[in-house]
Amino acid sequence: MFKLIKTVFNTGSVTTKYPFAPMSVSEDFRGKPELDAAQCLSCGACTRACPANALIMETDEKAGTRRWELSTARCIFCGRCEEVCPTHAIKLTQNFELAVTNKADLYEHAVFSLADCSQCQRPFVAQKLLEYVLDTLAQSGVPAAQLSERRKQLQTCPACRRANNMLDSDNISHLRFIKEQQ
Amino acid sequence: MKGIKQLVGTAHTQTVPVVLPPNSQKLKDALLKEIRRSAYVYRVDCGGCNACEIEIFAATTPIFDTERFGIKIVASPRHADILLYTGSVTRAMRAPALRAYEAAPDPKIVISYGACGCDGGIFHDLYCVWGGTDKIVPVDVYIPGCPPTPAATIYGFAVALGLLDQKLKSKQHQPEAQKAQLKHTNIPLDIKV
Repeated sequence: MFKLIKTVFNTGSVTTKYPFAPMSVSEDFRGKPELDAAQCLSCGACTRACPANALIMETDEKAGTRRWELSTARCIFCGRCEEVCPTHAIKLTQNFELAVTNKADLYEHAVFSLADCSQCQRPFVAQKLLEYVLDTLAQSGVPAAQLSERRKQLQTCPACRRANNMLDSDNISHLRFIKEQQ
Repeated sequence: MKGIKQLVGTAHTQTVPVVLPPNSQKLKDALLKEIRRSAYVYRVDCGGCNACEIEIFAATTPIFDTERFGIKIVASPRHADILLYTGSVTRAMRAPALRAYEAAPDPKIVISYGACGCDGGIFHDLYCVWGGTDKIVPVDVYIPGCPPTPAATIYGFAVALGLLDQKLKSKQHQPEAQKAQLKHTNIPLDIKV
């Protein structure tokens, strides 16, 4: 009996002080995903990886915009978006205090404008993603003359690019090779 | 029965949430501000995976101990002030969930618990699932998480009882204000592989 009381007094209170004192969570705790909008390219890797479809992307061709949405309501905090993000734009924070009274507060949006194809004038890729690709090419040491050629290519939508390659044009390198032989 | 509309065809997975009586907000304010007694919680598992239940019981047992605030789990909805809905509302659990809602005395606070309760979670597009508590009953507080940690549960209860304010706000990002920065820009070209 005394032994038990002694153990109880030695142990003390095990209850956390949480609502009155901040709760410390582990370093790898997976809390609310936070988007660094400056780094986001709207590449859509996170929306494909998300198992719960908490991250979705919609393209509005008429308005020329692409909308990214995070639903914290549906998020299962698995961290796959963080794994696949090529620019480290989305990161899971340690924030767990997510209870809301208004459901609209659980959603986050980002709207990207789309670049038009230089031939068919229809939007096909986010302007920011296109610029990032060109920057990456410049950084990898592509010479300026080649870069302007690549820019023209990249500003064309895949359908137009395919159509260009189908025609007998100067684009086709093997044709040039045959001409040289003659 | 309230909350169920007879539907045929492709729209058979649609429900109309129960409509709140006009004086319900007044009653709820009276419960929270004037009566201010212990809040009894009744859990309704509408087809969850039981992880949420484990976390709820972790929140009520000694480490997190919600009973120090008078928040106690009860066995009958007739004793409850707070109804805690977990799970994504399966076809089979819709009617029992509505019965529990009807059985709880007014004023009652409805909490949607976990990712499934808030928006259907990972099961949101299944054929036999209504996808969220708010599809069948009016919800006061949403606690997202898969499952929410006991600390998040305590925070959710505190928000439901009006003791703490909600911290999360809806956000509209401006992604085109800045250009995306490249990584490793200082590496000389000739040593790149």
